[in-house]
Amino acid sequence: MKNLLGAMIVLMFALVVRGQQVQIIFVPTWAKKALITDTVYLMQNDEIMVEELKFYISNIALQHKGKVVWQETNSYHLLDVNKPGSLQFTLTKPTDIKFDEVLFSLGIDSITSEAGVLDGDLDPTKGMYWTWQSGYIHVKLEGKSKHCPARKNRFQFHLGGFRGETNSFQNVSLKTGNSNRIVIELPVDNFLEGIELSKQYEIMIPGKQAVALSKRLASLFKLKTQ
Amino acid sequence: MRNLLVSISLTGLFCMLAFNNGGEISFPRPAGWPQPEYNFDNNPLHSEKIELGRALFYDPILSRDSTISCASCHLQYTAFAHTDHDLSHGIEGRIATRNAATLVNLAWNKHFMWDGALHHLDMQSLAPISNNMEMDENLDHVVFKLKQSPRYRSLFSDAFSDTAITGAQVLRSLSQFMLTLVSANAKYDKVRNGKEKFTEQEERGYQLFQQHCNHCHTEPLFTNGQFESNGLSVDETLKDKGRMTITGKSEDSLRFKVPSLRNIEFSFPYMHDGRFKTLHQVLNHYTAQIQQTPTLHPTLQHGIPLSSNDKVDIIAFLLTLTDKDFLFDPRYSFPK
Repeated sequence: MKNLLGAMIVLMFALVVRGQQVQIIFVPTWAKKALITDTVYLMQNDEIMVEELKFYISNIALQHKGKVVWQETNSYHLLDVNKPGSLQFTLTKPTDIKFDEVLFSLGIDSITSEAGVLDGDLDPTKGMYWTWQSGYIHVKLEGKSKHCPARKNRFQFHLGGFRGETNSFQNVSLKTGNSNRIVIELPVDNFLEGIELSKQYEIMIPGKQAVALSKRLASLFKLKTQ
Repeated sequence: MRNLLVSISLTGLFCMLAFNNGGEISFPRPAGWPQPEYNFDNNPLHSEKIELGRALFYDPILSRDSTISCASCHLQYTAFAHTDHDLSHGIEGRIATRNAATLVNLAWNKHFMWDGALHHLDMQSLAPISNNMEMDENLDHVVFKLKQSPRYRSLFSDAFSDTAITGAQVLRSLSQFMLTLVSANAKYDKVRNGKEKFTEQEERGYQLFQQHCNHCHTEPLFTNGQFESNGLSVDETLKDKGRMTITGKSEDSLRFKVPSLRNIEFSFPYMHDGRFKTLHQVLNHYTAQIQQTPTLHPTLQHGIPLSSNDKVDIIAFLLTLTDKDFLFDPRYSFPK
């Protein structure tokens, strides 16, 4: 009897540890299809090519009826459109937890930004930490546009900032239902449509422009409907 | 008997704090000093990490063409500043825009660089490594180079019990070495601890210092850790706005981080652009050359009234901030 109880406890423990897996897949898109870098797209009367898109997704949590029921620990993911493996990851939550909404943030929060050097995706070798001043680059989007007056027609948006009014860290929530496979799209074409690339093409410092663009980018995340 | 007990327990304490091969080391806080700003829980001092940081600090491998190291501009014998050079130097003879600061008592610093661009000691090293006027390298490539070196592979594996070399480990080790650069044994400190006495002149200088200088260069660190405008005229070739470069706020225009005055005898030239070569020039600025700017520190509105004798006395006091134990500590020198 005692052995049986012991075995049950071990089994329950194993189930909880194993948990249930929820797959999260981010898909940056252009014209409703997966974005391909170094490819020329036509947009209005412009020719646009995206060379690089990297962004941090952090603080992932699951919510049920408006209440947080599960949070990922050490929740920092650097997503890089040129490294497809980085665009998806798996959450392991206890089997009995149900959810209807996913919460996440675009960027790295101010508390983490205030801490010292960190490992993994937060290691400064990832090219997402400014070196001329402190702070993570939440989003890096670089490419070329025919209308861009910069050298080699290049646009460069390095969106960051974590202090006070220059804080460009954004929270996002998406109604998902209790699904174990969640596909989240980020329509990059819609983001660039809203920018006059002949005038605004280079942001490398925290400030009003970075905050406004981060807000708009965060508002574009949407659940892929099958 | 009682003396013997005291000395035994003092020896024991010293051994605990001393550098040894036993791994973790507690950070010795000098008596009467404030709590350090640095959070040692996230990066506990460890003898092998300190030694690794020291090796990196003195190694030009951190620069793109392997010609300059941290120690190229931060020399121990000159309080880890760059004597005789007004602006910091980089690879290929490049000259940057500010004076290399002293590296001392960094555990108590909240902001790094003259404009506070960096907010954490761990991240501070990224700036000179990456700045194209200084080392013109990037951390990712530094890691790549270190991985090629059998010596560093073994040093990292000893320090972190892990064969991977990461950027975070490089920065943490550099922090560890720099955190040990504590200067707290100058004549000033010995007087404070009742072991020595000021001369009459030093004492007069100390009184004047407390009256006129201490609100920004606050004891015992000799800095208040803030950004202040001290009425320097703007150098037209550099047009440096100081703290405003980082915050974008006009109230921060021409404010620079207040430097510690410890070992000031050896850290010349002075100011963010190294414009003054001697302490006399510095004091002449405060008495007669203050520029009225909107952000000028209120205590400097009318300059500091000092006679020429007062200046000599203040300098006599400032020389008591020289800490020979620090300047010649073999633990800080080029690793053998």
